[in-house]
Amino acid sequence: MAHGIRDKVAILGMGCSRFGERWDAGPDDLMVEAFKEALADAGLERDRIEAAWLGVFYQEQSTSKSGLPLSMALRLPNVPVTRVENLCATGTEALRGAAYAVAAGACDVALAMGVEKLKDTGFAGLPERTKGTFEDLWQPGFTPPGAFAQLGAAYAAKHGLPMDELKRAMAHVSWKSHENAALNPKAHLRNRITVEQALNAPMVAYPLGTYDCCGVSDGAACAIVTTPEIARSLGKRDLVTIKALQLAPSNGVEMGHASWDGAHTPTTRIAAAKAYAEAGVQDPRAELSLIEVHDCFSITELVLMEDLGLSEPGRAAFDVRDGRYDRDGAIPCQVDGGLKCFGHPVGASGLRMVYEVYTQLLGRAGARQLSSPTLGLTHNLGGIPNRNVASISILGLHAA
Amino acid sequence: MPTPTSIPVVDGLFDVQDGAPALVGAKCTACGTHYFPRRARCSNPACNGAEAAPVRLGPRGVLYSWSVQAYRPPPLFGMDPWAPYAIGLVDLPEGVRVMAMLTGAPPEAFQIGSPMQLRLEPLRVDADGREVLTWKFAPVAEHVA
Ligand SMILES: [Zn+2]
Repeated sequence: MAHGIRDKVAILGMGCSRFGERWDAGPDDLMVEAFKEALADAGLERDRIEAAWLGVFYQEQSTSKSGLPLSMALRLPNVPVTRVENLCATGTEALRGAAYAVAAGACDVALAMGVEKLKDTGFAGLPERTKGTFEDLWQPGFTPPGAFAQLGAAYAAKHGLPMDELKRAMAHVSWKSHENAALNPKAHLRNRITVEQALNAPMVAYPLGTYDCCGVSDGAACAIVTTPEIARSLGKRDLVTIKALQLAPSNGVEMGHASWDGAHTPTTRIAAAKAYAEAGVQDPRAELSLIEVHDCFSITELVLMEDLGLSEPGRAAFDVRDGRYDRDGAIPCQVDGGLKCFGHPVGASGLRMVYEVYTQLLGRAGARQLSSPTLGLTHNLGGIPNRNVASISILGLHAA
Repeated sequence: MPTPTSIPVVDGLFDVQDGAPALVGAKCTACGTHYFPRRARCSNPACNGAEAAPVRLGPRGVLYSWSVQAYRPPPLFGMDPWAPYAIGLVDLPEGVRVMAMLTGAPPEAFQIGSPMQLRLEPLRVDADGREVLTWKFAPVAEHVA
């Protein structure tokens, strides 16, 4: 591999709107909310932004599919804006564009913004969105919960785990995220729950009950990026730099083939191996201080612990219940509350995850602050388990 | 294929020969990889073949995983009347793993590893009174729990 993105780009400032049912705000308001925070954090005037990437997935009804919504909402006329979309990895894709532009030397300061206003679509889960005429018609009613739920039965069968044991571990996954979100004023769902509540919730798609599914929310998050040298020249002392940005789409044969491991997400394994190499991570279990993964459903988060190389094959359910991924565990996962409690405004989620890692690394996380974190990972999985894009970023404190 | 009073949910996904339904997929003429639904080209990254020819798949397979869709999906799906239904992944002998609605047993009665058989069943009745048929897999009779 070429040298990669490692330490070529620093985060100068970040912002994240409050997530939730934001009937009080349009997508432009949410972008402004996140952007103001990021500008203040960066200590910049907005005319220093030389290029921007806007991640929007569903929300074309109020934002359109161009770069204009960002230009107009943030009052950045005539600054190049690239609007990107890559399923649930859309927010991270915006960051990749901005980071690559800075690394290439095409601009000194770039903005990555992700926004989505799902509640306005009027559907309780994800709204209907065309995947192309043929795709829409032939897929017989496979919702995201229905597709991801099948990881559950397949995982239990593959590893010989009784379903009630797996269900209890899945309930722990959601319980833990609600515990974390209770400490986070920006989260959507801040109530605490019990494991029993999660176990006894109504079914959405067996074995997923209500508490096994992430929320549906509105939100925006953004990052202003530059080079480490410029960040230092602007007076930044503690620097968070990007260590890796990797993306692995399904390979063609794995989709719909028995060669694909339907109890896991093989693309995550590929993206993780590349990201660890790019970041110079030898032993992720020892080196990662925190992780923010794509917990669209509790079972997804559980199998990802193995796909990211953090639990041994077949051991994730036991590690989860041992508290390994709790806030006070060895590798805290979803310290901010995750998709579970932030919901999943698709374009914003990747940058919301990066925001938490950034906030933790700089010691600004208040009541949920971890002790001296140095390296964090974010992960998105867009699509369904057998047909997806897996996206990983690694961020860390930059040695002075 | 379907009688004049029925139509397929999408043309070209399945056919019926001598009363026996089968899924219609494609097979790469170079590497032999099978696909469902049908496609014009092979997407195996290890293959340089240009063509994929239509081929009938199954109709028997083995259940790999399953779930129960307990809420009504967005409207494009068009199942009417609606009731919770099982869905599953079925491994066909050609190496294809097909996601499909499941039928022929109560939703919680499906067992991973059990043999499955293709069936065509109505999804809804259209404005002209025709049954709109889709493909489903049911447990092979002697294996129903
Ligand atoms: Zn081929």
